[in-house]
Amino acid sequence: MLTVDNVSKKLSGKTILHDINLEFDHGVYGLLAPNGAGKTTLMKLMTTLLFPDTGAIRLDGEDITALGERYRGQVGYLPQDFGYYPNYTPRQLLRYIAALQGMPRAGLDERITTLLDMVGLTDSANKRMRTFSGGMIQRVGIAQALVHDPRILILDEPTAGLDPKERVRFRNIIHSFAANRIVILSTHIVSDLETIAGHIVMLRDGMVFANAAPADICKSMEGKIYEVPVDMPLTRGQRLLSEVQYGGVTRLRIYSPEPVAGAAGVPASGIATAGPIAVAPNLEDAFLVIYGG
Amino acid sequence: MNEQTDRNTATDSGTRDNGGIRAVGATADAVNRAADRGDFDRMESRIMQAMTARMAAAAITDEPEFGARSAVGMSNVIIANMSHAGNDNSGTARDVHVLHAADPNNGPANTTTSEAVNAAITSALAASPLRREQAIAAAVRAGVPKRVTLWSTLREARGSLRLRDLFFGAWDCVAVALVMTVAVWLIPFLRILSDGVRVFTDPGTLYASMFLAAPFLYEATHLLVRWREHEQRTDELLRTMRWSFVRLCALRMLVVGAVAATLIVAYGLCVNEVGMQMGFVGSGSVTNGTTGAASAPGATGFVMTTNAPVSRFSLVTLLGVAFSALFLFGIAQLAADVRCRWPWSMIVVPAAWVALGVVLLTWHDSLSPLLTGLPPMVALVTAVATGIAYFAAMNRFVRRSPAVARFA
Repeated sequence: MLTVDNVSKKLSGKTILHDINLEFDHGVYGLLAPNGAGKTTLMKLMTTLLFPDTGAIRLDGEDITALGERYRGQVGYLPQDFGYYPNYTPRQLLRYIAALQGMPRAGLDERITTLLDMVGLTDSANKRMRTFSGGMIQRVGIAQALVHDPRILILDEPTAGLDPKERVRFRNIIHSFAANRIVILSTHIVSDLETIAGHIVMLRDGMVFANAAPADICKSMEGKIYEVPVDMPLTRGQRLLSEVQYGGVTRLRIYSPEPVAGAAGVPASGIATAGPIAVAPNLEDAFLVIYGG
Repeated sequence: MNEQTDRNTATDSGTRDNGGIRAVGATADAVNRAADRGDFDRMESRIMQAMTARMAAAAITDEPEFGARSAVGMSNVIIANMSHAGNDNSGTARDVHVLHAADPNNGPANTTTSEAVNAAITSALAASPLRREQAIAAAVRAGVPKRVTLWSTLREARGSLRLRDLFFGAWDCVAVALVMTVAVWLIPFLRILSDGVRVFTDPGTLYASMFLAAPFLYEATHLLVRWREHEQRTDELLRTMRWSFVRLCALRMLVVGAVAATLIVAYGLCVNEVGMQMGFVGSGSVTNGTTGAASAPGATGFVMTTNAPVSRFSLVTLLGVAFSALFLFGIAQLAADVRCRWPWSMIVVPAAWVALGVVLLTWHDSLSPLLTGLPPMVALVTAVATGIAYFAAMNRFVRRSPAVARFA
């Protein structure tokens, strides 16, 4: 179990994280927060790239700083800004990473071939990465994080640059990988987290705002999300979240802490074109409500 | 069954006076001493000796039911002996006693002698607090991280990292650094070719040039490779690897340092060869480091001529100065890597070296005679001392926790 105990971190005199307490067991954990909220800082702390000013991060009760290489050998990390070697092939890069992770050479080529196949880069395995698109580079990054079969996988914006097909492939990889491991990922694509994350950690003002299953977070918004006609004026406390299109009809998706007068449930035949209706909240609604849409 | 066992125990420990018991008694003190010292291997060895002696003695007596009874008996003998070592084992001894007596698998009918002896050893050792302490010590040893040293780093690197891994993605930087080094080192060499008489009669300038230029390959490679990794943003990823970035960089520095040392020796030999060709350096100076005298090209030995300029060049001094500079620079760079943040860690030492060059240039006239008169042995000893200091600093560097180091 990976635990974050009372961790605080200041960077350039500004408090980025304040008294963070988290526990990570098996499964996929999604870090959800707007830019600058401290997601990357928290991930860097968990990869020993940064060290807490106060508190400690522990793996099975042992401080990860003290564990040193014994911890790092169990962690796979994909940085937000994955640096690569343009003049080398993905196969060469994975061999290099495997060597730095202390993997034995026996059976390594088979492992690399499997990984490249897993991320859909078999055909490009021996091509120089200078010719790769952003999505392909990102897939190389995912493969390198998995090459030593880590116990903890930390992915900072892993789906950035991936097309929908690759995002689905990524979700499947993570889903199969997370069965008995810890996967911590941050993404701005809320739907990705909704699909694969068993737990969502929301940070606000450098503190943990929510730490719950996606369904529980959505449940807390139940009865507070409505779709209303565009010409309906918003009352005090109501907030516009987004616009939705139904054919040629545009409707507003709003948050209302109080029940909207005359609102009905979603009719069986579909969205009514007139009048407000209560709709099922999703994670994106929660994100917009919590962080101010 | 308990009654039977008790009777056996009484027989084994008290009334029977055979060779096996004597052997056990004789080794008891040795076992106790080994236990007191924590030498568990010796303790086990003594126990085994006692067991063997006991079995041999029992075989002589040709006792038909020896197996199980002797096993139980031996358990008690061993533990009783252990209790004399200051450990309260009386309760444990009784437990083992009952365990064996109650275990149907250890009954007289179906237990062979060897099995019974093995079971007795296992039970006795498992029940021993000393054995538990040993197990705890082994667990602590396994749990506490091994101390990282330069030697352990090199040993581990040999098994996992190859040379091509050390400079992965930065071989072009290494090549550029080599070309730059050749260009820099060529400057004093060209001066030798153009004004050999002056250089060999007053080699202080050559020594000073070598002092400044010797660490060039080391620093250029370090700087270019680090700059490349920073620009490619690969350093962040590398710092999360099991092989710590500090150790990786240390290995790189050692490899580059070894290459630089080889090139320095080659360079010194080239200078010496040129001196010999010009007749300023005698062949003897290569090995003994003494100053030679002008001699005709191709002449053997030192032929003193009254009007010839006297060469004061010494290859040993040149190498001593160059190696001292290399190691001093290495120590300074390691200190900068630890104390300064990027990019200051890359800048501060080369800047200091350039400042030193300016000083040497400014006070050239007063410093040159000092360097010229530098005894070869002093240069050699300085090189060895700085070399030892460098490896000590490197050893501390690889042990440095990433949490403390500001490196990268």
